[in-house]
Amino acid sequence: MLLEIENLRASIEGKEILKGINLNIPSGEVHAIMGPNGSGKSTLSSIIAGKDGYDISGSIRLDGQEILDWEPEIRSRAGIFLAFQYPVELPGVGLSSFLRACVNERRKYLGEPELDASAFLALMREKAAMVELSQELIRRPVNQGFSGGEKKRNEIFQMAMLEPRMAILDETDSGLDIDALRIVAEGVNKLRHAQRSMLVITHYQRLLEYIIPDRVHVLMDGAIVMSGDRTLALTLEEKGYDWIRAEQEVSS
Amino acid sequence: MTNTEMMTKFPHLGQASDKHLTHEPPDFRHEDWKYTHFPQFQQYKIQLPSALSQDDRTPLSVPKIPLGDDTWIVVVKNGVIQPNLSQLPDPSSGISIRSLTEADVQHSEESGLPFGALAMKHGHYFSQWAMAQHAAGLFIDVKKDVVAQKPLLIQTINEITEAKQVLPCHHVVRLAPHSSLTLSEILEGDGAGMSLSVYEIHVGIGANLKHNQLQLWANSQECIQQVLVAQERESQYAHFAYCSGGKKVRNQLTVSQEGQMAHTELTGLVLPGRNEHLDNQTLMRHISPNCSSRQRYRSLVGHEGTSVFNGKVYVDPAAQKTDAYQHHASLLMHESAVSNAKPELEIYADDVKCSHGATTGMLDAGEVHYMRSRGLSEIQARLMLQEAFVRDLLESLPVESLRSWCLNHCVERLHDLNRLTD
Repeated sequence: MLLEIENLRASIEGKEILKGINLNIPSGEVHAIMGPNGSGKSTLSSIIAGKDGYDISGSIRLDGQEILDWEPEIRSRAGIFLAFQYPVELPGVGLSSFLRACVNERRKYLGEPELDASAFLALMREKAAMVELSQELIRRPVNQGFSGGEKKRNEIFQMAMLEPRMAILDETDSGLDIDALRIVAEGVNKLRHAQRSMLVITHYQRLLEYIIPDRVHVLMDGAIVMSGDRTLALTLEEKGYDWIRAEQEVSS
Repeated sequence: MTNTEMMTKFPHLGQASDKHLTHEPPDFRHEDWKYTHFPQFQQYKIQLPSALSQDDRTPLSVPKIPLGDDTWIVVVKNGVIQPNLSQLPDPSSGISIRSLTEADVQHSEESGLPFGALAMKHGHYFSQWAMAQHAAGLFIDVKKDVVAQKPLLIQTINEITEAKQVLPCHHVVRLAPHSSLTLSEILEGDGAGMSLSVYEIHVGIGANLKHNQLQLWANSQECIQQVLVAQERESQYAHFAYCSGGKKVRNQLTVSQEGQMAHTELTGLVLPGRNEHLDNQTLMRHISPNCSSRQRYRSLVGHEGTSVFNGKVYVDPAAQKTDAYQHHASLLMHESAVSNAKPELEIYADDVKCSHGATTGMLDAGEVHYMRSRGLSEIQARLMLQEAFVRDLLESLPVESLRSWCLNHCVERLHDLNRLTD
């Protein structure tokens, strides 16, 4: 199992947001999490990536190793990648020098030699082409002056550069027009790999027409209340979340 | 020496000094000296330049900067040129560099040379005090129409052994009409005293001076400096100031645009660490129409460090169509870091464009987290953001070799400041 989440509970300022999440993602699979606003989707992705400020109990294991007490950078070097819902602008920090440092930290962690300038440049050109990110944007500071769509594409570009084991896409489709959505989804599909798993967090079924998930989970009020194959996403779109609430009431 | 003694000894100093020197050194009640003052200055002893350097046997530690042969170098120790360590311009170059003597200042009116007038007119208390000590220094004279073929570097080394000892210096730079020069300075020293320097700079009609100062004071040293500039019409003056440290440093720039179409570019970066106090003070005097100025200052303040920026823009009623810009940004590395920023705009003309801004803050936690989530350690992330904060200012340094040297120096300094902060 690539990622195992067991009875994960998280609260902030005394308010419980995640109330015992259990989720297993095997290597190579793409899972989607859907759920209404405020159900805890973004909190879950932030906690996997190591954001502090929460009281946390339970377990998150990557390739069998407990990562909950790891710093965010160690999780990243070990292969966790979070594509931010709101990518952060880094004033004055050049994208290529930033990414070169990141890529080399990951390589050092994996015991691989660091990339020299020319090898890095070649890799960057290749991956930028994959997500149709222009060379002009690469020369700019990270996300500075990028449009919303460019920021999201830049997240997928960084994911391609870092070649993570476990990629989490937090509402990567929000704020994207149809063309940008297609480009981002195509980039993600090219990154599907037997050794890489993905967790796609979204409000809308539409993204899942482009990125076909192996499993769909419904997160409501801090817990996964239903899981199924991709048809679950279609049912949700048709019936909304109230339908699940009703079912739950019946079963309880 | 008391003021009365000083006035008796140097009666030729005239009215201007009268006015200032009968007063005490300015203290915190004086608006310009609110954040930076030198209450014990009157107890300081003077170290006269010549006294120390004549029988000086200690080897000079000249910083190694890879400037190569394409630079003229003047090494100045305790105010005195060291010819054996210098590569002075050939007389045929149209640039002359020599020591400024007491006689120059005393007879400037007869000789028609511009010694002392600017300092008498716009110098603050300490500058006039330095003048009264007959402070020696350099006279750099660039002839009409001469475009310097190489950049000029002055390496100043001040060894002032005792605290409360002050070494006054007085430098004069004159660019005749339509000449151009890049003048870079590296200022450093040993010991614990104070360097007190007055610069009088005359930029002639259509002339262009790029003036870069890199101050690398030890954290035991004090410095008071005033750079006084008079710009003729269509001239350009660019000043770049890097100050990596010092116990208490007060740098003042007073620029007067005396003719139309002059442009002034002032850039400065300070990196004060623990118990260091670095102050940049500017007075941009727009007194002629159709001139422009651009000021960009940044402070990166470490644990228990203090930075001060006071930027004054004065626009005279005659200075219509002035275009003035000023910005100061401070990045505090710790809760104990202090930044005092005070923009002052005094505008008496009605058809002008003057803008200014000032920001102070700490690194954004969201930015640091984003970078960590991509694999960088917290310290790597912080250094990268701090370097980005200073880098585009350093781009203003026009000499490539100096720029990369300065960037490296700055990055090392940032490492030190972060170590102290942790």
